[in-house]
Amino acid sequence: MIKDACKANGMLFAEFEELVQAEVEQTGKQRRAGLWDSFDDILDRIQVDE
Amino acid sequence: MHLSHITLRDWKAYTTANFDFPAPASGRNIILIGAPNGYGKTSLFEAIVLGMFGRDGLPLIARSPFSGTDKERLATSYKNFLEKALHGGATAAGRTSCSVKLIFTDDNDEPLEIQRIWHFSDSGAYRPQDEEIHIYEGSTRKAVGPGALQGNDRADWFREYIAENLLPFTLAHFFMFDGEQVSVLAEREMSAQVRAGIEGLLGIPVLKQLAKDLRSYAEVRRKEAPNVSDKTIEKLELERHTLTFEYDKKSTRLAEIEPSRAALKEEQEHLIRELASFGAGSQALLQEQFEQIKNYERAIEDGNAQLEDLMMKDLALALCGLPLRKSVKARLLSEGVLERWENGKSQGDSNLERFLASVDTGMLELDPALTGGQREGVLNSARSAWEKLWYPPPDNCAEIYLHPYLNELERSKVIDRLEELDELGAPAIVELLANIAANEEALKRLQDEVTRTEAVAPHVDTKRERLSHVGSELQRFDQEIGALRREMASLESQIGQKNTDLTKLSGQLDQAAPSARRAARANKVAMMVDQIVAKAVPSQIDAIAAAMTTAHRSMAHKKDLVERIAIDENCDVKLLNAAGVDLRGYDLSAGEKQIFTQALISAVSSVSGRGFPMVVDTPLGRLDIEHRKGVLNHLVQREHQVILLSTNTEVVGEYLREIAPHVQKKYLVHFERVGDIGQSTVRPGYFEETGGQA
Repeated sequence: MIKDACKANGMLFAEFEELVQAEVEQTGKQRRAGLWDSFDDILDRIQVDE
Repeated sequence: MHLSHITLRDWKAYTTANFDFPAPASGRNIILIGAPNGYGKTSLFEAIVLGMFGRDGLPLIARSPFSGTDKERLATSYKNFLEKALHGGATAAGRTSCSVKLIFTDDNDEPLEIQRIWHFSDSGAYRPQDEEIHIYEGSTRKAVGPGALQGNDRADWFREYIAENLLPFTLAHFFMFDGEQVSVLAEREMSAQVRAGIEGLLGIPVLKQLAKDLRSYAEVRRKEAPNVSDKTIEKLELERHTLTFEYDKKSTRLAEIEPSRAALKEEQEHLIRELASFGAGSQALLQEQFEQIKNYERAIEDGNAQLEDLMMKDLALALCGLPLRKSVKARLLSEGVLERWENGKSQGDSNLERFLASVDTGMLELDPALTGGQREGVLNSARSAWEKLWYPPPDNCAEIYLHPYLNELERSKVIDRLEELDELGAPAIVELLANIAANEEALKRLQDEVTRTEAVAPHVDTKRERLSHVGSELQRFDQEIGALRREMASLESQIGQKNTDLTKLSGQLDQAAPSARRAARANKVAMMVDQIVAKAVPSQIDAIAAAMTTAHRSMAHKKDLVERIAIDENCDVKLLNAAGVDLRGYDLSAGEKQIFTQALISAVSSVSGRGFPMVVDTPLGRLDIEHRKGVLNHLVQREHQVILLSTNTEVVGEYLREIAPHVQKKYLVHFERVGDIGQSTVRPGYFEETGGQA
């Protein structure tokens, strides 16, 4: 289902996995800063239908 | 995976205790631990839960007076619980800590050990800062841990580790539970239980958090973006903030009061049973009356919801008055006539020239021939006659359109709606109010009857008063919960609309700068996550419903009428008989309710695909005799380990014989009192092997 959603939005499943992984790995107080950096990195690379 | 070893030290009445459990083999998956009430059976259950989840596990220990997510209260309860958990003789003997060690062994025979140690002062006060958790992986006992992380980060690390390697806490109450509490669970909001179970199964909380974080991130990046001065986006984000804040506030309130409601419900049931025991025959009557009370409360709640609905949708239009509505209807009808007249006329005009051409051709064939002037005269006369056909316009035809935005269909819908409002009128509202009042009156009457029924013995007055207080508190909670749910649903839809608008606008501004592009992409992905979450729960509903049906069939008694369990897209659960009638609306016995909830528990644990052991305290709890064998026979069919903590009135005699071929190992808890201090010890064996005495 997630793969279908990624396909429908022009995004690679592996990139979506990266975002979820970033979410799971970042915990605690430094969460925001670390997570924002990870999001920057991933969102700069990904393709998504715009 | 199975639980292969437990060690308790200075935990409750156990000075030390060791349990070793073999891996489940084909057809043999049951570990049986026997202890009469008060001997330390539940202490063992608590040790397993807190050993795995620490403070998080507290709400799972159902008999403890903990409830709610109120952190301060939970912290106090955790402290109180642990201070009572330290063995009574420990501090006097100079031991100021207690510990629980659990070893799980996976299918490759690799162990995973978790040990928690709780420390106390010399006077027995719990010292939270000293709490230790140790995890060792594999046969080489390789230590793993959060490194230098401290405080919440450290606790988060352990939480994540246990979720990933053993069981996420969101699924824990489907694997570790007290049979006596299952009936309480059955009284809770079933759709919420099903939804929480399915969401836990699918890891939806992570996806929801991802969507939330992506949106927060998008807001931050949007603010950083140069040349983005679009006030509309800022305004939309502010509005969404306000809505989200309101939603979170209501959600927090809901999470606060739901456990209190469940605790009250449990207390109410307890009081009813207690009071019922005072008078022969009064138990059945009281249960019946309380079922009726529930029905009235539901009817009042429904009535109030209808009233709110009327106020939101119809009241403004109804208040504008019949004359105005009549005049609008008349106006719309006359505009309808105008539209039809214009359409007819325009269709006629398009045919007129063809008609005149045909007449003209016909005149050329006349003998004697007509002059040009005569032919022109005839044609003018025909044209003039045609025009007169359309004038004057029909009766009741409007001169102009006051409502040009409506087409014929929409105009007709508006008229229908106005007519419905004519029928609504004050009598319908009065009738609704009268129904609510009648239900309230009936409720009050019934409550008075309950009071009379309960008053079978003078010394039950205090309990009766408490029951009455609990009843009104429950009613208050039910009303508040109903209102909160309605408000949250409305806020959710408004937030959804704002998110859609924001995504659209963000896309338009995406050319501005990298930060804006990131924000737009984050919003886009967040929307995609929303779509996934919306589809995810329904995708598992059929699997859960099918697993529930199978489990229910295997546990239910032949006289039970349930044919199939159905779950709709809102996670509302129905017990359908052969005729498709939902039996949940009828009086189900306590046993039937418990079977129903056992089926849900079994379904979630089975669909989760987790091979985690099931640990059940008081497995036959309040089950009636007819359902006991059904539940046991269902548990032995599980492929994975099942640890049953039984009293001497549960898994004994014919029930024990029923599952005997599936039992791998049995332990019996012994108890003795040394001075003021109770001492529990554990030995292999079981009640019947020691003459029924522990």
